[in-house]
Amino acid sequence: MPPEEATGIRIHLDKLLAQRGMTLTELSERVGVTVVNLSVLKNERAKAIRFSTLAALCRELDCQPGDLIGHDPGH
Amino acid sequence: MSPRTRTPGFRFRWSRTDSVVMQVVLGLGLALVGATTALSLLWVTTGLSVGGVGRSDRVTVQQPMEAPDTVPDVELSVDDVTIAAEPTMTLVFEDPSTVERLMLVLPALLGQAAALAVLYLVLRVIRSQGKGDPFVPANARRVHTIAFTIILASILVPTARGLAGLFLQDGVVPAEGMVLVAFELTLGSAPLVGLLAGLVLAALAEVFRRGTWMRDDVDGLV
Repeated sequence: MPPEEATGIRIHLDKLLAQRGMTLTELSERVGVTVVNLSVLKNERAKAIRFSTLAALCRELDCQPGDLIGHDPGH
Repeated sequence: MSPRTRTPGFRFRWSRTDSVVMQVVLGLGLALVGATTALSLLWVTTGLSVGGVGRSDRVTVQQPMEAPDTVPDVELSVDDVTIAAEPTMTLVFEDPSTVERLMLVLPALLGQAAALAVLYLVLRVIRSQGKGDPFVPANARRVHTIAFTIILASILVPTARGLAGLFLQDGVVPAEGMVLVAFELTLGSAPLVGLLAGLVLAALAEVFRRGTWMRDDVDGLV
């Protein structure tokens, strides 16, 4: 398998969770995605995200996709 | 990951027991074919007795064209059925040389080599299932190699049989009237069945390869 390509995509899930006082487990129950997968997303090890997952996260965290995902080409 | 869906109406499930049984059967097949191959090679290289390996001392070839047809002398109990003569004859070598021994077993050796390769590769594919993820590039390569081996064997084995038959007849059967090439190609004949099986496997191997791509795509999808 080729080495992981650095995409520069940043996930601000921990910041949003802290601002809303929510745990990863709680969020996982609300959006219907396993804690393991949410952890993969939070730690920026995910390679892709489904629109349905993104929509559910935005709904539960009351935010826009841009609040959750950012792009930092320098990294 | 979305919840895993099962094909409706499809009740067959590959269990761990099935996998173990399959591995035992394949292992036994490998041992059996391997032993037969080793015995054949031993028969060729050493001076084992002529009848040492089954019926390796004989080859069945086409009769010379001018040879009279021999029909078994069997009294049939009905009138509207007759016995047709088979235009073949069997040459039995009582003291074959090393080259003649090699030619006598060559088609079988090629078939056994192909069988060994296929059995080994199927065993590796089955074993990889136990490791959790069969959709890996190595398995796609293995299925491709199995397909290629079957296609190659279904062409090479009959060719080797024909050439070995010619070699063994040379100097034994009078040259005039010797049938150089004789084969039949029907839907049931071995080369066609092998080719068809190989092509079906090649198509499945391609499906498998694309499956590994898709598997790679969804890996890390949240």
